[in-house]
Amino acid sequence: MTSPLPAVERKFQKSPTVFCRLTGRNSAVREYRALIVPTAEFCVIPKVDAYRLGYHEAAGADARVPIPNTITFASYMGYGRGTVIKIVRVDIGSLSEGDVEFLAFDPLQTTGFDMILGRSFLRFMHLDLDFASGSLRLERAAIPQGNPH
Amino acid sequence: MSSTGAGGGVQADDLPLPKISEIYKDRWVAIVVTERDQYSQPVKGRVVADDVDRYRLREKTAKYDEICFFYAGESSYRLLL
Repeated sequence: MTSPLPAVERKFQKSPTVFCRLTGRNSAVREYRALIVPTAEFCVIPKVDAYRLGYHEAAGADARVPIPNTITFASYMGYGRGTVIKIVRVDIGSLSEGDVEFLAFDPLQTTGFDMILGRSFLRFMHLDLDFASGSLRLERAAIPQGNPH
Repeated sequence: MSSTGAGGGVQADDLPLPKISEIYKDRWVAIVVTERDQYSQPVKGRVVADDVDRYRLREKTAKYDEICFFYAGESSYRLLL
């Protein structure tokens, strides 16, 4: 039995990052250097980009009228709200996943990251982070059917 | 620092990403990727717009169907996420 091809192997210095290509509902493509955050339940992109990718409902998440799929979440900043959208396709290297849940929410610009790669994508992956050597390896994992994790 | 117009008025050269990070340090940049490595990760690109503000950069690049964004360099602050 052959082992699966790694999707990505990269070196990093301070923060583990990888470039991700997102294809939206309108077929537009946006690519980001995403910060890998295994503790984040969702992947995150700014609301303006959700809008550009065809998810217009995400741009109005602050409206008084509740928008379907708007959730409340907890972060180190306290409580926040954002709209959950399903990105049509996410590509990282040779890996491709469809209908990945993202939270349309604006990460602080001071962090230097537009996108957070969280567990709504990572749950399909095997991720090795080696902070001693500053390297990461991301590859598809075989997940049994029905695994809720 | 280059001043790229809305949607990229300046025709920039293909540059390696480390060079882009050096030239546009501490700015958000939008590039058209011109070369990728074996893992399809961008290694070279043509800068079509840059700005200190993420949202102004989006206005400048609205016409692009496909574009790559990143922050040139790393935040000078300690990161807590």
